[in-house]
Amino acid sequence: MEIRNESKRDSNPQLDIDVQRHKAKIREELKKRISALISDQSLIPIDNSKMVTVRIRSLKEFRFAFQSDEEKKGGRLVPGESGDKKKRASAAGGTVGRLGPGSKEYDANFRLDELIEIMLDDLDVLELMKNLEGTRYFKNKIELMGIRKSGSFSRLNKKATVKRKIARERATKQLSKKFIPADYRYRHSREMPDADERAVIFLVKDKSGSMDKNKHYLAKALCYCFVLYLQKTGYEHVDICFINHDESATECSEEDFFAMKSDGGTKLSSGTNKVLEIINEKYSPKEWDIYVWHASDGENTAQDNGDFVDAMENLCKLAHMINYCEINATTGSVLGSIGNMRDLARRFSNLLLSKLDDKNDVKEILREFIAKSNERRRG
Amino acid sequence: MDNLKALKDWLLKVEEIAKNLGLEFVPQEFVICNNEQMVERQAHHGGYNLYPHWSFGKAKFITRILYDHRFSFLPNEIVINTNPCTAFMLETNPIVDNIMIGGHVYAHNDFFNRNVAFRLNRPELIQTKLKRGSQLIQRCVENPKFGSSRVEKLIDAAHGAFFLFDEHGNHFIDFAIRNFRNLSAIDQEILEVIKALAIHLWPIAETKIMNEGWASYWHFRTLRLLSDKLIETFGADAYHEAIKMHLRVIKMPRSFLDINPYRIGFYTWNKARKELGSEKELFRVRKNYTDEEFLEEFFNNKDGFIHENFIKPFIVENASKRIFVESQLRQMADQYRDNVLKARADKLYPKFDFAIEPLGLVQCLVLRHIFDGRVLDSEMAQGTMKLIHYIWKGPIRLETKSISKRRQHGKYITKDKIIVCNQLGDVEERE
Repeated sequence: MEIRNESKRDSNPQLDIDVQRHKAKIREELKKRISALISDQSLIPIDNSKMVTVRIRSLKEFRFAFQSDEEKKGGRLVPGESGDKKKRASAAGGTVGRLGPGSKEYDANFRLDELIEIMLDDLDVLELMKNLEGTRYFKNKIELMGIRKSGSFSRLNKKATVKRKIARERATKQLSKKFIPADYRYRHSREMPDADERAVIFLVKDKSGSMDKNKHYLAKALCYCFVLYLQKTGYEHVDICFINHDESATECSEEDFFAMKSDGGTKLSSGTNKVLEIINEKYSPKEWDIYVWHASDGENTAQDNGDFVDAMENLCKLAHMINYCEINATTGSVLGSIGNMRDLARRFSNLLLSKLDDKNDVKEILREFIAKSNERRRG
Repeated sequence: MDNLKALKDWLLKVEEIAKNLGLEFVPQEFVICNNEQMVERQAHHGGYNLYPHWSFGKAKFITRILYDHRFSFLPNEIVINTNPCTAFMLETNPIVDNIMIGGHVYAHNDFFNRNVAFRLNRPELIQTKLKRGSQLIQRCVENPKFGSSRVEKLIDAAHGAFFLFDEHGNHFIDFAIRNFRNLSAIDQEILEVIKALAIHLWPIAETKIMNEGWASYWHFRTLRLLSDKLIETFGADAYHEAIKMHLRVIKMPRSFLDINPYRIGFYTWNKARKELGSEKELFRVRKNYTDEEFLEEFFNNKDGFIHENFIKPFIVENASKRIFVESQLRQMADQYRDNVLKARADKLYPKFDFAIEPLGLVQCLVLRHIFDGRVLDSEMAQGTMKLIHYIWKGPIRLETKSISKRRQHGKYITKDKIIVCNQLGDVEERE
């Protein structure tokens, strides 16, 4: 008889690979359902540590078996100590088995960012968003650092130099006609990143725009990516403002933003005007970089088209980037029918017009939006 | 390491007792392991040298969830059928528990060594064989020419047919290796590895109730024989804790449908002891029976055996206020016996006849279900056929029966049912 203690040994690395492979397979399953999962989640403000409970069907290992009610009649083998049902309620955190041994489904907790990674992967923008990490696109602010004795002649501070000369004359009690090198004073400055870069993003949506689950998912994902872009690229502070409108506009929560529907007429200008109004009240363009995403199904009350383009023009002058995005657009949409809108986009490089119909559009919109925005921010 | 030394001394005493009682075992080794390692061994069918496959990852993942949330406890011990026989014990076990586990382990060892179901097992070779196999599979996974996904699908298919036998006990994988033309030599080698594992594990499934009962019978016997010494050394409390653990192991499940093989086995062996008149006779039963004959012969309601040990505790456990009349109780006992007989491994897995028959210009794999009144789960059958299609790569026809919901003359009507998988792997069902 032999006895040995192996409890200090490491765990089996091969089995860890198996666990990883199993996880990858679960992720493949989740990817198929990701649009539905994301539609049910509130993504903004971004809180990656949030846990999300997802019901997963355990991956089936197929074999020939009897119909389950038949199998039940035959009885299940359970070992003696098959758990304490009273205690299990107290278990918390991590991954929770819900239905117990032998069940085909269980609830697993995922961190929200795990789901989001799957989402970004699904939309094929994972790389794009990852590449943003650690980049800062800001014009540097020039900060004066005072006056020094040495420097480049182009930075000569005349006033300080004359003062020095007068002081020298007084001290030596001699007038001098010339400036001598000891008189020269130079301005000194340093390029500094701006410490408080602030951005506000207005997410504006037309209430009547009907969206199915998939569009809903795409819109939500797009909004999330915009916010993520702003946060990742160095804004210290990002304000998010949801606005819903039909004929008149209101600020609302994220939940309402995606949920609300109405059948009434639409005035796109009301949304844009609301944005202008809020900018006036709270967000001076000097202190805030303003971003706007305006989604609509493109159906507008005919009389409003002119107003809308005017309002948009005003907004273009204030905002950093605007994306006017048509979801489920019909042929008579604003983009299709108002040539003025296209003119406006030609005149203002910060207005991006787009359509959102499928996954590829998300990628295209983001790529273009980010490229244009970065260009402007670099100056 | 003082503890280890003390434990070793006690386990030597246990070994001595086992030998004197007549158990015939191969050399035994005990391995103390931690919680994580126990979960891993559980996922690897008890601790065999297994090949990489995601299903073991799943097993570990789910085992972890269940233990973390106390749906079930970690086993205090796992014994695998190798030579020398290896047993794993949790480092957190109290020493008295481990002494009792020792008794349990030697009985398993004896059972593996002497029971008829294991006569073809080669416990001295299995670990080496599996290790070589897993190295081969590992090399295939890493070889880009072969590819990890091909290996995975191959193993998926083999696992789909893990306990798939024909009426004469021939394994489906054997049939596949002999008759499937699409398999390369390496494919065949990989399939051999999984078959080796399956046929090594099958006797364990086939004798689950007997084997666990045998081990429980002897661990309890050992505990009683050592009781004076244990109480003297560790105190009465520690001894009672061990008794409590024994009672937990043979606990009555809360659900009438669940079956605890330890409990069934333990009580049935005690009943057999009484009926056969001597302990010596038990060794004959241990040698020549599998669950099938064992339960057939001893698991019945003679002298109210099932009622006393299973129905009554069940009613007590659930604190049922219902009052049962005698005929109901008798009916419950009959039903319980039925349930247990159906839980036998040889009843859990459907059996088929395999054949390859020409179908037009191509060969068709035909699986004829040997119908015993129970209908196949259609979704599982279709999924399995898709897996098998990966190694067969041709049409498959599965012949079984379905039962209509309506009855005629008080009997259910059965109808022929065919599930077909075409050459491309699309599955279709026909009545």
